Amino acid sequence: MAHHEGHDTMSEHDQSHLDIHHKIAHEKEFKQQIVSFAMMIFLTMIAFVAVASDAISDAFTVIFIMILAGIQLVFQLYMFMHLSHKGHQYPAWGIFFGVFVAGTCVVALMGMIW
Amino acid sequence: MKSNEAMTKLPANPERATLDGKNKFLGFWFFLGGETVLFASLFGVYLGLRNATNGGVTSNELFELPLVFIATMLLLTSSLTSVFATMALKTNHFKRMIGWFVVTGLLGLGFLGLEIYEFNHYVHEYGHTIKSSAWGSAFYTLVGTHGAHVFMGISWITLLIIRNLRRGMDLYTAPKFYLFALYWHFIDVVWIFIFTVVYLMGKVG
Repeated sequence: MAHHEGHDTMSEHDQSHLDIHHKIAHEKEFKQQIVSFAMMIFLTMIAFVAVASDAISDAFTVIFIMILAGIQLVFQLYMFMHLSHKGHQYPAWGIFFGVFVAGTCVVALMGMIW
Repeated sequence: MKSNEAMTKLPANPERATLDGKNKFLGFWFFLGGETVLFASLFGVYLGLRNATNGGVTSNELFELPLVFIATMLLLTSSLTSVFATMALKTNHFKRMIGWFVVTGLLGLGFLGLEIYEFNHYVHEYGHTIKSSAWGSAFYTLVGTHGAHVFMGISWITLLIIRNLRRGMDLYTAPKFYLFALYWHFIDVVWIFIFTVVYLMGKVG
């Protein structure tokens, strides 16, 4: 019994140590998520304003809002979907192969339809 | 003490702690890769046909940016609430996670309501239907497929919550909720490109 108790105290100690470590990591991640969200709201607003105002030429606006969408894609994948975390090598391969085929598909269809 | 149930017993990544969870996690990411290609085919067709209006209303005359902006904010916020839910999942706060997923589902419902209002408005006020022009077909197929995904997501999370409410958080339920959050973020990614390519580019001309 005494042996068991001793063992439990040890693991509890380790557990609490691990918990503090996790807690700090989670708090850091929480701040990053809030910043990502604020950035995404900001980028969305810029895109809408760029289209609503006549100050910028149409051709540049299209390129500009596509770049903003691309940045938002990176925020979603790496921050919200945790692609930057450990153990995401195969998911990254899966999704980027999809994105590659998708890009080819969009260009081909755009060019082929008259 | 009860509120202090956090971070006990479950490993750091409960969604990938079992072989079942690992398989679901990997399989779901590959599925999302395939979904990307599905939407790409619809985007490609839309970009090819977006000026084929058949003499009817054009995208510049049709779209109203304030409505699209509100819809975008709803979906973007729902993406954040499902991030909160995922964080609650990882720290083993079951009730908090359910709460955030309920908020996510409600925001999704709000988005879907706006989309139904929008389509109804286009059809009855402008005569812009899936049959009126090639652009109409491309528009309703692309935006409608996304809307169907939102509907699917709302149904999914509703069933997940009802089925698992009494089970609580464990290595069996964690992967289920985690995958839903991934799916919901993916829906938001697709919407980012819809509001950019369909609505904003439609206004630019």
